[in-house]
Amino acid sequence: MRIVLISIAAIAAVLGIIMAILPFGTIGILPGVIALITGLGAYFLSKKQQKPQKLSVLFLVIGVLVMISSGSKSLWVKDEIAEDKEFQQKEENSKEEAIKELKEIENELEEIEGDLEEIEAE
Amino acid sequence: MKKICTLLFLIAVSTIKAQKTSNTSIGENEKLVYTVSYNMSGLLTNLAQVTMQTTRVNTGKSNYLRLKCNAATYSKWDSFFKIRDVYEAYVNPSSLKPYLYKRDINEGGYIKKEKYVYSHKKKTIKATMQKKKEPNTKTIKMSANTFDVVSTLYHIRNMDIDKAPVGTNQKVTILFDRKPQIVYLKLLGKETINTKTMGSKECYKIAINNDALKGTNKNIIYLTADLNKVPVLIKFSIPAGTGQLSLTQASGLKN
Repeated sequence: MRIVLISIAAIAAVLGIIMAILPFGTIGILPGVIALITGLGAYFLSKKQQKPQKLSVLFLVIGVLVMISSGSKSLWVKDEIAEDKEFQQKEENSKEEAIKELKEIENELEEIEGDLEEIEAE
Repeated sequence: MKKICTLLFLIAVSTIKAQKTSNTSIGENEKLVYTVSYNMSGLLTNLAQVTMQTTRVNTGKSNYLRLKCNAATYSKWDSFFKIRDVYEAYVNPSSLKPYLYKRDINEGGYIKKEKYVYSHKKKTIKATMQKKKEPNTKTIKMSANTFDVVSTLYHIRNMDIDKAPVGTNQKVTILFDRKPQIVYLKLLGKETINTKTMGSKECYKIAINNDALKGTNKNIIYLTADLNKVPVLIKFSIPAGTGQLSLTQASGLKN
């Protein structure tokens, strides 16, 4: 049971570190909580069985750190989009191109209407 | 009994078919901003921002309404997977009839451009697509109510939803990736939705059903039950996962 708890704590701690580094937001708290609970369980079992407690303490501490860093992320990582001048320019160019294309469509439409009028006159 | 059933059927068909020919819902300087969230293990994670904007465009001879939708990932995600997409439709400001559609996407380095030129006289659409190679053009026959994805979204907002009974199904053909996709819109009823920008609003709950989408009545669009019919919440369920678009800013509404 002790080994199982330490293994779960280790997996959760690694996952928590990855999620804390990546921009996952508060969802990163979840592996932190798992690492904390299983680490705590492993610590008490190790103490009871008089076995080394270092690993369980390590994952317990990682769990707490992951919870703090992921939980506080919303305070310093904001949901905002970067000012992308290249993208803005692309949008503006697209609009200018569209105006040219719309003018071509209007000219084509006039030609069709002209042809239709000629056919009708005949 | 048979006559009553026939009458009810005719009323249902005529009300949903009776789409407004004039634009009563879309403003000329409307701006709607959404947050795109993706469901990860039951928790929603904010990924990107979608902006839907309308502006008047003049060619010297005619006026058009430019319906622009752009999507951009939040800066925190840019280093991992950067999205910069632009979808545009140039439509008649009063009838919302499309004349030109453009799509320019850049999703994590995957680039694709698309352009549809509508010929309402010839009843054809000249569709051009470009990936990495040279652009490829083909002419597609235009059947009734076949529009691009942007025009369709604005057309839905301009429908007479208030007259349609709950459970009504409307068939719409959307041209996407130069392929016609048949989509069924089902009115599920009304529901009150809490929004960041507009407070608590009574909304029309419309399900969007298509073979490419996951499940039945899982993709839902909530439109405010007023003259503007603003999409305040869009829930999506696709094979890659589930998520939602929630309205965070709204300005320049017509009514």
